Amino acid sequence: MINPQVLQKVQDVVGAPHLLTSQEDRLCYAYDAANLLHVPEAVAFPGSTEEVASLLRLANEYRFPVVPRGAGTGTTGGAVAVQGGLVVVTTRLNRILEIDTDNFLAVVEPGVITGHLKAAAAKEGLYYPPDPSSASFCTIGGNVAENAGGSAAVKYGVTRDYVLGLKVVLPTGQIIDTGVKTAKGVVGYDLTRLLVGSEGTLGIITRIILRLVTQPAARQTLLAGFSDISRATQTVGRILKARLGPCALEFLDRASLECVRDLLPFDIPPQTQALLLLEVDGHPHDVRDRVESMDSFCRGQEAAFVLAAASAPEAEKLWQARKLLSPASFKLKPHKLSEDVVVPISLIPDLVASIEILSRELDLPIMCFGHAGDGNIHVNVMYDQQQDRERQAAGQAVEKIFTVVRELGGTLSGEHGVGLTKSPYIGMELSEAAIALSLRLKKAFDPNNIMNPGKIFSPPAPPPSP
Amino acid sequence: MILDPQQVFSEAGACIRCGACMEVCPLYQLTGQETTVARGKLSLLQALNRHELPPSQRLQEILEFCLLCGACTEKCTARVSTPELVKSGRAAMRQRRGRSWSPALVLTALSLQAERVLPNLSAAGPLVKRLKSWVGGNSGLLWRLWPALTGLVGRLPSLAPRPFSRSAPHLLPGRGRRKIAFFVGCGLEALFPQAGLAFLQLCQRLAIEVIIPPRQGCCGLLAHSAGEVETARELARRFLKQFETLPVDCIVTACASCSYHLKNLARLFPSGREGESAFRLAAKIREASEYLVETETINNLNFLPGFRSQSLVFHDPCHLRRGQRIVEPPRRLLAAAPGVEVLEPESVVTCCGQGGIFGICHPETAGLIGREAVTTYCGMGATALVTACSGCLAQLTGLAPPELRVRHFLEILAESL
Ligand SMILES: Cc1cc2nc3c(=O)[nH]c(=O)nc-3n(C[C@H](O)[C@H](O)[C@H](O)COP(=O)(O)OP(=O)(O)OC[C@H]3O[C@@H](n4cnc5c(N)ncnc54)[C@H](O)[C@@H]3O)c2cc1C
Ligand code: SF4
Ligand code: SF4
Repeated sequence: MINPQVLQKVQDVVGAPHLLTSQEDRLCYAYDAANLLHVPEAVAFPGSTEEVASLLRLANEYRFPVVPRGAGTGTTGGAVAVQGGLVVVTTRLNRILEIDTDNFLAVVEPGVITGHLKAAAAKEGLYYPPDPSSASFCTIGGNVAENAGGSAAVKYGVTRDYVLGLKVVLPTGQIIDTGVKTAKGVVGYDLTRLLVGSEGTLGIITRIILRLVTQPAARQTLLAGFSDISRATQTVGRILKARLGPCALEFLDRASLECVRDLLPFDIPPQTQALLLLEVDGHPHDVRDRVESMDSFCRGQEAAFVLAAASAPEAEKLWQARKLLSPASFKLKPHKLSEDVVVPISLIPDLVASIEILSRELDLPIMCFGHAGDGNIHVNVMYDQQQDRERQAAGQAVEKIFTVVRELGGTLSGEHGVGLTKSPYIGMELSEAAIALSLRLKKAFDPNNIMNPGKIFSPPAPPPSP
Repeated sequence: MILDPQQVFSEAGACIRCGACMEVCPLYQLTGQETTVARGKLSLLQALNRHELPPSQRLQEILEFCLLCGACTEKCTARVSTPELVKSGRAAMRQRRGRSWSPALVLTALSLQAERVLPNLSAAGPLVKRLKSWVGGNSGLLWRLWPALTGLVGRLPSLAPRPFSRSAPHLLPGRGRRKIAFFVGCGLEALFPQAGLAFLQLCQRLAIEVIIPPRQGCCGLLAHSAGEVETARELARRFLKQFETLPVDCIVTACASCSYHLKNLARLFPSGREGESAFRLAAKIREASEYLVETETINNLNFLPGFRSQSLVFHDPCHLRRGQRIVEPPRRLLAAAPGVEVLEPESVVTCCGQGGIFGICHPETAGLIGREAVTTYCGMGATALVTACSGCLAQLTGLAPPELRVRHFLEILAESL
């Protein structure tokens, strides 16, 4: 509980217009895209690193939870105030401070919308590759805190691969700078990497130094359709093995295709069971050559059709459909459990086949789509909360999926993080010792457990998998 | 389907809180606060309907802070119709909180008298002009007393010297099979009669018979937006009574907001006879560009060749583009006029900021959004900014600089005859 005197101190820090306390306002910060509701006690919009530091000092002194929040598009409940307390939103920290064309880097505040940074870099002929489907409305801070991925990861890697350094306010209120502004750097432990993906449990990031690359001169998007799903999943690994170097390699199964069929710029033949959405980028000549090889390669793998986007708007339409897939999935059923598991690329066919069996076994639609090029498949168990049978079956599905994934040597989450929704399962992946070490690290950063409590490692470390 | 809490709850509950609407909501862009975006408003409406939230003052403010522009719905994969749900929410608030005095309420009350007041308003023209110059002249007193209305009056275009109904006949005889009725609407009646007259000119050239029933009223959109459902129903009943029995193919209006509202009148009557006739009549409602394109009469217009060349930019009214999915027809018509080039802005202009009662309740924010739109259009080198809705016309006329004339697209067409 934040008592009124303490709340007054919080208000003194950020100023009255930047603190929301009414029931109505707080309710609008009770959720993220995981769609759980936990109403915070207050919502603050700090305007500087110093204000963030003052807020955390107060929290540490008066022991109230602090939950960092970017745009609230996280899908695992990371920005939700499960234990009440103060939600700290980064919306006002939204300046692009620098785009350094000599040294290929950008310095930004965490509240910058990812798409805005991409556009600002592009204006200078530079490219910030990470491209989560939510890029046009999520924040860079949220991307760093979740180590967000996206379709470009198959060639360019994930957010982590672009973060050079951070300014972070620790839960005790101290401000530290981690990392470097240079291409390399090995002084001390790599705290930057520890903080990337820490889901707001170790501190609040208030400044980010990002690496940029040159903007590829050309790109071309292709859509390949298969009448046999296993041919499609096998082709993923084969494309990579053939060194065709796609900068995106997305997989959509039949159910996914049905959800976005009307958004696609092409008519898709009814017998199509799976799609691969491919992109190549680089020098125009090179792109042309590789598109040709990609086209004939896919046909060689029994693709029923390979279509090329005829124009930039057509390519944009294809990507738009792909980006809308996650929300469009609700056309199938009103609720879903969405897991973003990753398996070794060569084992994608095994994963997808096991899920098909599971779907029949549980009699629930389970959609598979995602960034197949890096083995990251979004498995969406669709169900209706009102139906007892479906709710129970969905509950069983998650553990079964994770069991399959672990057997295949995969991981429970490739990019969405653990947050609240996956925390009961981390024992299936992390050893007791690893969890214990993580908790000691957490304690070293946050002795009073005020930073985003209840996330990742809570409830207390579940039993390890048998 | 207004006011049925269960339905509002289940429709608002279709929101999966993905957050995609944040990208497009003009008010979220401006404020960065969740209360202003669809996701937040829908969460509140659900809580209100479940009686977990009282109909508080703050909730009222939040629900009034919506342009009803529909940009969120266009982006939303769950297709949640936030504008309609916000209107229902406003109505529920009126019911549970009772009325509180506001400029929107005054206008709503006036809209009931529109057919009597508007044709006589020109007499008050000089008075309004005086009022405007007084307001413009930094009248601190009025500003303090009536900030909202001051902002409104300050931005209103001057009243037309002669209202539409005093210049137009009740019947424009035709020479063919086509027979239509023309619904004028408050905006065209009092502020932009030239647009209505332009339409009649086009119809005359096309030999279309037009019935223009006398003493028409307000379509009721304003009242509905303000949550004054009873007023909106009363206006709807009058409209139905006046137009239902006319022997015409279509009822055409040159205001996108009127056509949007009239096409959706059935929403006001969840059941009963009125709902049925509203539903039947909806099939006959056409927006002017929609009508002209659909009937392919445009080919018979015989525009004067080699008319002076002009480049125009078309501002999409929310109620046209998203409300009725009419995007190409006005552009096609304009492009068919000789010498006309239609430019497209580089960045999308979502809304002019007028938004139902929004311009009345939040003149400053409406002004900010409107100025941004005008700035985008000004940078394009167009000679005129053209649109199709009297709300947009009022807002844009008040904000555009003299070198960018704001016109109704029908005026451009009529001039090329
Ligand atoms: C339609 C849709 C598509 C998506 N597609 C992808 C995808 O392709 N790839 C992908 O990786 N993700 C995807 N996501 C998930 C989500 O967009 C990402 O996790 C994103 O990084 C979250 O950013 P945000 O600004 O919304 O953060 P929030 O949801 O607000 O917060 C996420 C976490 O980060 C913490 N946090 C936020 N800001 C800070 C800060 N400044 N300092 C410390 N901690 C902070 C929060 O406490 C929380 O734990 C998608 C989501 C949606 C709704
Ligand atoms: S886009 Fe639609 S579903 Fe997503 S948050 Fe907005 S209103 Fe809800
Ligand atoms: S209707 Fe317009 S202003 Fe209202 S929530 Fe939707 S996008 Fe925002």
